[in-house]
Amino acid sequence: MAERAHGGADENVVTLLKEQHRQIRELFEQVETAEGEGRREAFRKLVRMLAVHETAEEEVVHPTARRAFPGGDRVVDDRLREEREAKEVLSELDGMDVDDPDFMPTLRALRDDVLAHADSEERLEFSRLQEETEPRMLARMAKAVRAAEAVAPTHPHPGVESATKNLVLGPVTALVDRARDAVRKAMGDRH
Amino acid sequence: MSADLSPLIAATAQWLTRAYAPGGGALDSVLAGAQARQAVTVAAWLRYPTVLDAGLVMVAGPGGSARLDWLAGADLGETDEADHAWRTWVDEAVASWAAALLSDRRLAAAAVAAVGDSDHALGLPVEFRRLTAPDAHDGRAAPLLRHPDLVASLAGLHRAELLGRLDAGHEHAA
Ligand SMILES: [Fe+2]
Ligand SMILES: [Fe+2]
Repeated sequence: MAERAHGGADENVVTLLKEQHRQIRELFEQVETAEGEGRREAFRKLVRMLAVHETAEEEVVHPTARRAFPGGDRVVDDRLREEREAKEVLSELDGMDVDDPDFMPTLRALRDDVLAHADSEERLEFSRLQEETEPRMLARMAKAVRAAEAVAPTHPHPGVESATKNLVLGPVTALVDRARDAVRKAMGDRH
Repeated sequence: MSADLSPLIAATAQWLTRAYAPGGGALDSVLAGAQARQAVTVAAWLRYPTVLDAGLVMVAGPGGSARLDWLAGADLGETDEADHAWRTWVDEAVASWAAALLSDRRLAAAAVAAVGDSDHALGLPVEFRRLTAPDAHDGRAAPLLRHPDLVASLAGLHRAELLGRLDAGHEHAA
């Protein structure tokens, strides 16, 4: 099956999350090898990646896995506990400077925990989820994970031509409401 | 047909996170961002419940952050194009509803329950626990965003509509 790097209707959530686990492993390596400001920057990226990834798993993947196979509840509870523990260590690290002598030992401990957690997810949770879930639903989950991780657009809404247009204090919301009411009414009338 | 609300959601969450910026480090800002994003997601699903509603707002445009920026007292001055771009995707009413949900646990629970079978959930049992069951880290990361007094003016902007929507959903289900 074709695997797509940037989404698509047939994307598989398990493939997507495994790719993110690989990126997390890489970011840990970057923090370890960089120094000074570079290390600080790499650590910021790692924090962001970890938090965004775990939040999306909690929101979309764990709830589905819970219901997908017998024993899913326990498997997911264990993963949630690991995620909570990692968050504690991450918070400790976030309060330290990268030059602190405790930083690297704590980071390595976090790396071991996070990679063990990712491995458990892949072996105990994702593999079962994949076996028990229709490809159509795995694709929907991928879409939901991508939505949860989306960043704000860098292009203006096509309806807004210039920066000044955004300053026109107009009831655009009301306009949408009116448009929606009109469409609803039109649709209702046909029933 | 598919109407993806994620540009509106991501931009509106970014507006909230910046307007009520957490003071701490990288972790605080991403944890605050996650709470804002979940609240905005629930608010957007509630406000634009069907694929049709979502399609319309994405075509017409969510309105932008101008009035919110003014309300928040942000002096943006001459903003550059990049900063202007994402602000055009901000939805004022959704930001207001999200602020109401972040500062009122019971309202948040009611809203999450109301969107449980939303078209936008794609038939998945999604959970918004960073919104409904924040842990100690979440609370510390977003003290301003969750402070009822600090978000009161924003939450108040469209509060009546939010309550109306939740009531209507309730009667509908009953
Ligand atoms: Fe995880
Ligand atoms: Fe994971």
